Amino acid sequence: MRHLLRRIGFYLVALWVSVTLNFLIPHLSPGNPAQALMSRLKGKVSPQAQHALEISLGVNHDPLWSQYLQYINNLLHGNLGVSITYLPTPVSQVIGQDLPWTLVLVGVALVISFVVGTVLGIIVVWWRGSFSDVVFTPFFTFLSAIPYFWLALVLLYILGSQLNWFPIHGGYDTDNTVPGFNLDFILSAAQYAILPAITIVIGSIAAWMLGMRNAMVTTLSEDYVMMAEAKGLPSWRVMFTYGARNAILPNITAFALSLGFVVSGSLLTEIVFSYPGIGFAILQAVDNLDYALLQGIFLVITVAVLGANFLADLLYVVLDPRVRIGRS
Amino acid sequence: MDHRLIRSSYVIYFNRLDGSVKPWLASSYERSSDATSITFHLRKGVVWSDGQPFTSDDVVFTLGLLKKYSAMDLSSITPFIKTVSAPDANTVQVTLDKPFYPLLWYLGGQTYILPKHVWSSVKGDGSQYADPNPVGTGPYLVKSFTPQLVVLSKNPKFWQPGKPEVTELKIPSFNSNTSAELALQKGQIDWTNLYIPNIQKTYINLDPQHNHYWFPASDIVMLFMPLSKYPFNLLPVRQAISSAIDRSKLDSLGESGYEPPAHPTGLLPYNKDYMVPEYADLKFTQDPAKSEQLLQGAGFTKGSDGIYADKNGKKLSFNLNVVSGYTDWITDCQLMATELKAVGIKVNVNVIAFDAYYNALQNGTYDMALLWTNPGPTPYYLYDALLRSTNSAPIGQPASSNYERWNDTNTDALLNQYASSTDPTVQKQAIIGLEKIMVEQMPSIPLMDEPYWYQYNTSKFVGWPDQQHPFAAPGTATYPDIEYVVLNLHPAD
Amino acid sequence: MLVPTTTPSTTMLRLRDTWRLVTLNRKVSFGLAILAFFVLLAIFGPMFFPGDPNAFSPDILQPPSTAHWLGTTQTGQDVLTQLLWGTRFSLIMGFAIGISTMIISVIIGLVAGYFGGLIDEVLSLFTNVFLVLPTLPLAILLAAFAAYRGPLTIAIVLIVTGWSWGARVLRAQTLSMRNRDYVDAAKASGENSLHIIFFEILPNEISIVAAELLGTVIYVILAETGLEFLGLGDITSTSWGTMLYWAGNNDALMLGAWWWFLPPGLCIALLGAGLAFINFGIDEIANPRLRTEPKPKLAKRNKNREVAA
Repeated sequence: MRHLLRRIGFYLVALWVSVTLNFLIPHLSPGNPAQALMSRLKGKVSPQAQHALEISLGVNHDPLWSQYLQYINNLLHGNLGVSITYLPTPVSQVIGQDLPWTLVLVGVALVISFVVGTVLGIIVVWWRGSFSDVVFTPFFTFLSAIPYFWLALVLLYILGSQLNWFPIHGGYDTDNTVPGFNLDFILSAAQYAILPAITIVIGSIAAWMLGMRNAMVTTLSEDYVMMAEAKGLPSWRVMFTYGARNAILPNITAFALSLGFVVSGSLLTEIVFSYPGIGFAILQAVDNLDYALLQGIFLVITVAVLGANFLADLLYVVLDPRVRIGRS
Repeated sequence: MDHRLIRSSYVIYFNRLDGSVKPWLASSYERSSDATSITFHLRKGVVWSDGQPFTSDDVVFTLGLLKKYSAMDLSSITPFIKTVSAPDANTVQVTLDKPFYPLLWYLGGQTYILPKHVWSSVKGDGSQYADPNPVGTGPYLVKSFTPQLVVLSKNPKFWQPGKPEVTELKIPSFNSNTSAELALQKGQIDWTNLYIPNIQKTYINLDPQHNHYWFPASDIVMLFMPLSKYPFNLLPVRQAISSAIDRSKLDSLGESGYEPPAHPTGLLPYNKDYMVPEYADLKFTQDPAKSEQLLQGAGFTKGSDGIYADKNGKKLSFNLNVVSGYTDWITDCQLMATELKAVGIKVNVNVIAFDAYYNALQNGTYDMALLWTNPGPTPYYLYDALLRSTNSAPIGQPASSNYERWNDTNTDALLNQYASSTDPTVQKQAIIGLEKIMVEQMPSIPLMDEPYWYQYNTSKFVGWPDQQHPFAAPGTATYPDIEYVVLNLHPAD
Repeated sequence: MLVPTTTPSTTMLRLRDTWRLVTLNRKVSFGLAILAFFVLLAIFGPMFFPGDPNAFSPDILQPPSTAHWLGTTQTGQDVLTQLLWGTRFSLIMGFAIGISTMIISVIIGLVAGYFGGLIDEVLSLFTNVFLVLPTLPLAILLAAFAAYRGPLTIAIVLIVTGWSWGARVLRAQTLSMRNRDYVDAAKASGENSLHIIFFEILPNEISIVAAELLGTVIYVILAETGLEFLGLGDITSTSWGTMLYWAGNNDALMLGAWWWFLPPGLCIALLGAGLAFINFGIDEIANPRLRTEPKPKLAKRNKNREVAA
């Protein structure tokens, strides 16, 4: 219990640090969103008008610490400000609209990648030293080093544009479906998600496979597994009941950890596919110097990552008998 | 999102491509011969999208609001206005302190009228009012809105019977040029404004019958230098820089051949009527030898490193500012840096974020920078923004649009001559005087005609503006022309 | 001392040992071969293709030919020249930033692990906070708001977002080492703490540092490319990331200019894979149970061999 409280304390500190960073970073920049808006209006704004624009966009000339207190106060009241990219929509609403897309896309891709990668890891160990290990391991190592966005662009071009197998842009068929809980929309959204999902799976599968492989190999050389082998248990039973079951533990905690990165992990992929998620919003925000939106997104991502870490902590306590028994 | 197609509510419509004026919410207007008053006769039977009638009250109210809150007065028109009155429900009379001809464009063509019955209840500065449910007289209403897609549907109360024939507009947003282009290639986009390298190969050839583009000139990209700073105050230095540049190379390598060299007068191709005959055949040519001659004539000598320096040993070495992300301009700047180095002027291309770049321009704290200009329905508007001394400011203080800080009483007099007259001949004389200043004194260096980017597909709708039918500035980013274009469309057979 | 006569043979011995280490593990050899290939490209490539890699020419968008082995770009730049100069830039950036990041990781990790107590509490908290901050979004946020865009900004951004993982690993390792006999011995002989940390403990953690360094370099090269691809770097410089930025912005794919687009991406993937192989190899050497390939002939090695000083 003390351990748990300590962790909660830690996460609160981490949250505070990230909120503060989040506040400070945009103040590194000399410009402000009023200018970004002016660049879109192509000039034609007098200095007085600029001042008024600054006020209306929340450009604040108060001392930094006072702005900081206002910022924290606003956060505590759930007020993330107004997005100037989607003026006058509140940031919370923009994020609320974008987040589900990212969660579903990356969430599904992550589960697929985790399951397939873990199974591949077991298979590679099953045929240790044989052809599969010699070919699979180097191949997946190579895959893991490909930049996401590059892979996304190549797939977009070949599978989407040249072969016409998949839609190439957006999250659903905007001509023939209406967003909502209906079959047409869900099927369309699924179809649009395939290509980005493939990119994420290819890009991340290697990590799961190699992680599982290493954990398996280590576990299989433990005494109790040797013992099981010596007792003449069938090799598949040794492999799954003794090997995989124990080796999967680090992979599961890693899985919980990566849940937090679901929100941020696919930024570049989303940008390439114009997928209507958080990555899409973040680039729009950067282009428009939309501080409020950027800060809001970063906050959501941080909270997700912190939450996932906490979950991983909990999972570890629940799953690992050594930790559990040791503590109680 | 943009509410402009919904609000619409411009009083008259200007076609920037030929300077012609068409009645819009005003069915006619009169201007006094001394340009000190304008009377608008508003169209009868126009209603706001919520059913309330559109009347002269709305116009009076709007101009009052602009006067009260200068933040909303984006064209800064209210300082010129003396009185606004509404003799009856369909007449508006505007009087001015002194003659100001261009008001018609700024007030009639660039200011949209707000519904009094909605905005009168808005407290305080209206520019802070985020209109959740915009009411307008435009052809469309918002049907649905997500960050990915805005859907507009026909406003059944729109004042032009039977219009718009395009009953629904879908405006998707793309995050990368690549995905926008792929969608365009697949015929998923009917109308857009993309910069596409090699458009013939990647767009037109895919469906030559339906895929089209038209890139008419919109404004002139110029090379700016703060003239109050040495050595840019020396005309020969500016001329040397200009004649070192091969503008056709900027066009072919930097701009995929879409931005032909600009005319030395700063006139756009459709300003032909204003061209002095003696300048008609004038054009920029690259002449490195002439550049070096000019520099030597101005007292500069070439150092052992091939760079010219003045008598005190100060080298001609400058930063050329350009915005990160403007890839075509960056290529242009790199090309110019190479060409200038060849004539003994060292230029470092300085790629910076827009805000830093724009701050430097406004405050005059830059050496050289590439920037667009602000055109209007006649050449006056570009010259006014570029050259009028009141649009300038001392170095260190923000200038509103005269970033090169040209400060010349003769120029101001010519600009005033145009603005205070209604006589086309007098106005033309003023423009001719300004052309001479551009050619002879080169306050800033015109480089290329920048076009309206505009691609369209005729498989679903026809009636688009094109070379033969230049009835509006095309593209999807020019207001209120976008409305004029969409109202001209009708389904293809 | 017979220094003059023994030195060459010692050197030879060390070279032989290093060679054995290199050939001990196939993954290491394979990875090193890839790395060596790129290092050679970075060193000698620009010598064979001198001149400004960004120089424009009228040969626009030419496919590979004898004149341009990897074709040209939309503005007539030679892709091969750019790729070679880009290799140099990306490698230097990758290793310079990677090493800088590791230096911070080492200092914080070792100091925290060695001293323990309050120092450890504070530094660990600091480390763990940075560990859970999402790196790529933070990097984009930082890079987007920096007043100046260029290699230095990218370096700072990547160091800030990249040091925490290594620090955590090294702290844990140091924690387990600080009560070893040799540390106690050094303490007893009155060595000061900094000496013990950096001259006694650090050399014993060098394999972990090396492995972490490789991981960091992979991260740096991928992240740098990503930031540059988004236009957040200095796009007038020549690197793999800026090549992809220009290719992306000039429609290389749409125009079918595969020669412009594929090489930088493949280079990144290949170099990344090479570094990853070295990393796995080191893992296997350190933890022989991971080894699933046939056992090497030279299986027995004296790991804690004293080095004559």
